[in-house]
Amino acid sequence: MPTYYQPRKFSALLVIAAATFITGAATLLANNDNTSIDFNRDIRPILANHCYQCHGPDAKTRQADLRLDTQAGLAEQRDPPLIIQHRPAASELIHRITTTDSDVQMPPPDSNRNLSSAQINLLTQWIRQGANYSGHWSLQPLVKPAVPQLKKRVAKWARNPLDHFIVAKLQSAQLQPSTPAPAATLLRRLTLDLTGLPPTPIQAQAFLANPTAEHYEQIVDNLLAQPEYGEHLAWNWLVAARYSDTNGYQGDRTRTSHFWRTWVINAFNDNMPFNQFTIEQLAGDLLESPTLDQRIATGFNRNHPLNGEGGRIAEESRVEYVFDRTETTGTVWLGLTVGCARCHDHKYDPLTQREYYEMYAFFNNIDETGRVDAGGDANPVLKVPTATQRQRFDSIKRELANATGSARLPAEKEEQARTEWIQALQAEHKHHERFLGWNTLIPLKATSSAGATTSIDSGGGVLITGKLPDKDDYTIVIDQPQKNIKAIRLQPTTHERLEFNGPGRASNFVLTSFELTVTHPDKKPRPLKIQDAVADFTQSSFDVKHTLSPSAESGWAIWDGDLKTSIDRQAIFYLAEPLTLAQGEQLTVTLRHQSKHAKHTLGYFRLATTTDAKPTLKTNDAPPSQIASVLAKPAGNWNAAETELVAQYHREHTDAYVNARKQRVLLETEQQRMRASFSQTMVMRDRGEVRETKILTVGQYDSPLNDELLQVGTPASLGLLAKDAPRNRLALARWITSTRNPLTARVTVNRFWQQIFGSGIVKTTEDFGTQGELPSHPLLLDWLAADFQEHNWNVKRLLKTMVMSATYRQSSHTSVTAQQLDPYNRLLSHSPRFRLPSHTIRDQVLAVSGLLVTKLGGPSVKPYQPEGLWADFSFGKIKYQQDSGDALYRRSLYTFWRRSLGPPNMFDEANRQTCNVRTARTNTPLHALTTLNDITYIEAARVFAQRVMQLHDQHERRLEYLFRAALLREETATEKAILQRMFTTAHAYYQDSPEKCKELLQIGDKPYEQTLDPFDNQDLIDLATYTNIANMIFNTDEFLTRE
Amino acid sequence: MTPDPITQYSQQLTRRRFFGNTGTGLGIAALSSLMGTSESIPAATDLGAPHFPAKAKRVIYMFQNGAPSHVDLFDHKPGMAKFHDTQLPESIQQGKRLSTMTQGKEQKVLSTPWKFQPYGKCGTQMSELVPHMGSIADDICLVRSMHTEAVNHAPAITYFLTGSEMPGRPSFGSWLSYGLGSANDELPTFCAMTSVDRELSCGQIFYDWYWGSGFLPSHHQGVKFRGNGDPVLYLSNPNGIDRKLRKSLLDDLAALNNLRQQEIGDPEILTRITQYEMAYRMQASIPDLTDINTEPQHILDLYGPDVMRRGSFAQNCLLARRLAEKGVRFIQLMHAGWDQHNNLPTQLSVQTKDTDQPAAGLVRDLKQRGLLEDTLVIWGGEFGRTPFCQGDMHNKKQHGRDHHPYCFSLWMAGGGIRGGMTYGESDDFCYNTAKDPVHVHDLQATILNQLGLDHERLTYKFQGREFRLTDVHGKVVKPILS
Repeated sequence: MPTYYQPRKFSALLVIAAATFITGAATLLANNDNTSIDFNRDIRPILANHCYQCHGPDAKTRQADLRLDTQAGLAEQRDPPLIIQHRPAASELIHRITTTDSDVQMPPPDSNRNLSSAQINLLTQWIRQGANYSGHWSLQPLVKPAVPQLKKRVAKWARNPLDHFIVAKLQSAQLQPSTPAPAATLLRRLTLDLTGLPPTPIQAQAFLANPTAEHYEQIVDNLLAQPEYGEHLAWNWLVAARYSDTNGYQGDRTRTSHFWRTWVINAFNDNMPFNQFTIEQLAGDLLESPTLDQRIATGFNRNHPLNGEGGRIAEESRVEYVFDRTETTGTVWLGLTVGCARCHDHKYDPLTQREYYEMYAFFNNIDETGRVDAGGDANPVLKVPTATQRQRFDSIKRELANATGSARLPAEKEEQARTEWIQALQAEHKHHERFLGWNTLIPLKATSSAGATTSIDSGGGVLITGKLPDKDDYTIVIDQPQKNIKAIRLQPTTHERLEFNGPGRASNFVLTSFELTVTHPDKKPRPLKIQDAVADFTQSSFDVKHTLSPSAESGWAIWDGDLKTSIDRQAIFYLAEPLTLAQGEQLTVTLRHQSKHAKHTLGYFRLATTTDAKPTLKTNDAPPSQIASVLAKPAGNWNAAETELVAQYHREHTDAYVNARKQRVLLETEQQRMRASFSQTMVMRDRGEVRETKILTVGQYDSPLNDELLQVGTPASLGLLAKDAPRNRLALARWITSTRNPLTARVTVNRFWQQIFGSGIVKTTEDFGTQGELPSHPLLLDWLAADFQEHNWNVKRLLKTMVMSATYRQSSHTSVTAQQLDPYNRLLSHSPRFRLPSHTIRDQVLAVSGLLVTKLGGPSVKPYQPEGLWADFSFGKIKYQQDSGDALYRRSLYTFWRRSLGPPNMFDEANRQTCNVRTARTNTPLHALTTLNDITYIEAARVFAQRVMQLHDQHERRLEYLFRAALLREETATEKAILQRMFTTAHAYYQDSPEKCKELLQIGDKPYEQTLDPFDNQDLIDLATYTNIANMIFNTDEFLTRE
Repeated sequence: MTPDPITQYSQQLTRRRFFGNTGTGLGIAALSSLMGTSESIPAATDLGAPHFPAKAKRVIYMFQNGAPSHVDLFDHKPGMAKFHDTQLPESIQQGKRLSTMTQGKEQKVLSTPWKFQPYGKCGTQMSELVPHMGSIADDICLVRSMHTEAVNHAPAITYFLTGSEMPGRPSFGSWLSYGLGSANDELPTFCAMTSVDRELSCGQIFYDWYWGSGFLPSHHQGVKFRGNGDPVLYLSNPNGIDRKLRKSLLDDLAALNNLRQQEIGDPEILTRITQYEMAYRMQASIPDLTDINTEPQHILDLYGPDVMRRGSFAQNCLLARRLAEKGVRFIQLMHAGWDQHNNLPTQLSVQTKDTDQPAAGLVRDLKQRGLLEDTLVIWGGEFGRTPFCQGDMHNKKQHGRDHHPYCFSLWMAGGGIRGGMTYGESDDFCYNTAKDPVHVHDLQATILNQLGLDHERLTYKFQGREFRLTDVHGKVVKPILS
């Protein structure tokens, strides 16, 4: 295996370990003259914000050939010298930023980028201290730092290495960690953080009774093993992947992407290593013999919007999709805003426009057109069975293997059976001077009245293919001599070239008329009278006798009600008079299909005649002439070929063989039918011929910058793709997950940190470039990232490290000192406290009320939504069909996500138009209206109240339980008094207007009746009152917040 | 109860976070009642906005989704008549890219079937289809040289409203909310309303990113007023809970939250209490606002016969005035229709009947109340329509005009814009701009300018880049300023 990742060569000068800087929370450090200046912390941000626009990486806009983003640029020999170490006054840089001469002043006065005096001061100090340079921190090789040593007193506080980094930083900022959180708070925090659901009161009680470290760890392990863990982790990944159930744009058609969602949930639950998780999603299709799941995984980069608008230029759309994939991949794995380089060299980060299109080339070779060309989806798509279908599919495979095995008798038995059979036939021949049974006809010609293609095989079978008309009549001409024929047999037979194996062209058929005519070139056609007909199987009310009347109303059909049509059938038509064809006469068989059931025409069939007096459905076939002539001789005279010919014929006519074949065809047909009913999902699949990639002028699909063809490639500043690596997405995926890639592990652990602690160690989760924020704890970030890599990218282990730390277990109480010194709690002197995402708030009320339906995976559901929303935005074209029953109470993860209009009660959620890796958290009156008034919340409050009333008879207990079950702690006396006050107010209100009770209680699909027995008016009033209280508790800041 | 020192301290802290430390001017007053907060938001006043004294305090944008035909309404080219039914000269077409619906097909000039006439003292030529707009000709500035790059509805509308063809950027109103904050304490800063043509002729969807906040914090997004059901989602109390009971619940809820705040010391709790109070006020103010029964008949008459129909463009125009009176900063009306590819002769007059009187009525109503002075009104679509015929030239029931981005018209009134003038010119076929072209970004820069904002300085840093509504373009169109 190639190495994939080719590290950069660092000049010794360039590398000053990222470890030299201390904190990103600049407010914590006064930059006075005694402070040592750190290039990355103090200087690069100033240069980046104020200078790079004209003196940065973008060669096109670079002024005066001066570059301030590289060490070479800063150190370049210029006249006058730009920087003289330790001598700011002599440095041109300082002169330019301090002069008042607007002609030479930098940044130019009209640029809106003027420097503050503090910034000028920093630059001055930097030069005074020697103008040290270090490369951008996130691009430095990842080296696992040593865990800081702590003094004994604080070392006791620490529970794992993570705490060492945190407390060391706290101490340097004159802060102390907080006391541990109360057990109930901690349990609620932990359960919400790991599963997105609250603990049950029983779980809380159990932990409170035994709040030991061992018990805590046990709970952590249990939570990580719950299926709800995978669902919870999936949410943020879906958001990053811009997952939606519709395409967006005009029309906003529905797509089937839930298979990929289920894949993500399972991958998290199975604790798939993050590198594998990455590889399968970026390039699962390119793995050696990829599994169905690995192909489904590649749906990650098909989650972008699709434009099916009329008048749209398909190639323009396709190019947009490639941009989207390139940029999403850049943001999610590399934490880089590669999109900037779509139109020009990146202004701030070392990424050229050319490199952007080399990355783009990885995603430019998908076998796609830019059109929405596969139902609501766009090719390439993959057929995907549901879980049930997949089970049956696998069992069919096994049954098929068995059926093939049972087709032959053991050799000895077979030989014995054959000998007996030969003897019987020879005896029959001797007695009757002929073989009895049906003689298969080899027709002279077969024609279709509607222009379908007919062909006749050597065994006399007539196959109809080609054009598939709604109605069709077949004419079959027989010129074999016939004597004393009593009956004619029609055998509709299965055939692999027919849909679902026939025997009709679309499985079933309706034969409306069966006619026989004797023709002669010189005579009038002579119709033959058919006396009767029988068949071995008829579909109810489609009896074969209907074929004897010319009416098109009905006929013979064979559907069995269970999709088992692919079975060989036969019908016998008895002639009124025995038939003998005179010299020159031919027999014409007409098969009419004129029923109202379109395309119900025969696909493959055989005809046979017999001279037997009373042929039945059991009557055997006479051996065909080739076999018959051998059988006519004594067996001893056969040569080897003849012996084998007879053996072969016999074998194919044993019951075992016939049954096995029948079984096989049925199973294959079931497989085909199932495959036809499979859902599909969009996946990645490359084209054979590589699509050309050129640099596009300002990203215009039809404006290549020049004719140069680009190869795939990775940005030089991140390390090149190894020379011997294949040039495809799989190589990119392996390059991304190489342990030598400086970004992937850092970016990934930071995102998980954000999930657990509310914001990242690098707050700009999406941007690890020079415009992003510096890490608050760079050493901790590197330690976590290196540790993550060392332990095989184990996500559960990473999360466990975080939640086992003392840092995590702190109380969220905020001290005045902490607020003064670290108002945004970047140093974690206490546990972060933040409002839960709206999807979790919804899940939480469903769980607390007992409404939640836990079912993992599957298609999206449509819970409550105010009427008319979809109709309004789409002019009535798209209507919301609300689900009922369990579907109303599934986790928010499964709520149908319309890209143009997300679920209205999920506020502050990313819009799923583009990749998003950072959570928005705002606080507006509209959110209050949602959780106060939405049906979801009112119904949950009422069902919760119902449950509490069932559990407890006494008012006091009920009040307490409402509070404790939701907030998992005991109420204070003051709080209880407030609850009681609310109870009194609401109770009086409903007492006065009892009709209001029912109005309230009828909200939501879950009926409120039959809850209590007996259920009187007073109960109604109580229920309405407690519903109000539950509604209030569901809106307390504490309930809405992860504390 | 007396707040303890921690509470007092954190109240101060909240306020400081809220306002930033340096801002002056309108921003501060406005921000004191901003609709929402978040710790991750840089205070808008850090921008130093407004950057200079504003001529307009608010904007009413009557967006005509679907693209009205400038050829038939505003851009009078009598000379086109003699080219009717002949191939559009190559010198005009210049091989420009069109939508795939007409690209590469024959392009025969379709001169307008309607008469034009001069209106007002200024004598601006406009079509007989828009007599009411004609009657306010002296108050409006008609720009005849708009141009854009997009040729399809959604990208073109997104371009006008967010500065980018791809969804994901903040919309105009959310930029203003971010830059200037709110000017009232009972209504959202940015409201959007939609309506559709009576005889629905097209399928452009109202995407919620048209009033979305993109990467700006989500409380800057426009609040959509709906044409049916609750005017704002989840505004009504549930059945069985009246306003009085709700008030006691909210009071008790505030009491519980206050206790928690004292216990925990998190200033965010105080913000939450404020937001719940605001929600309660909105429950009263929004139904008041949408109750138009208090309007006298002569005012209703200004807006035309459709005004009493909920969700109509006419009623939305009236509501826009009421919102403007209450200090809402950006009012975005979106009226869909106008997309007359194959029914121009029959449909355009229906469309103008729906929109002409209400739009003009709104300007008159604002003017008579003295509100027009500081309210910037804009009327226009996302592009224009081709001067050549799409469909069967000889069958009036089966022809119309295709999308046309290279030149179209739009008008503005009030808010420091000169009335009674036209600006810019098209060529002899309304095809290309011939004089003083105005690009979408120029219009955006000009509107921001009237609100006291420098479009180059109203920025927000996202994914490593300072973003602007005008991207890296835009010039204020100075000649149209009064």
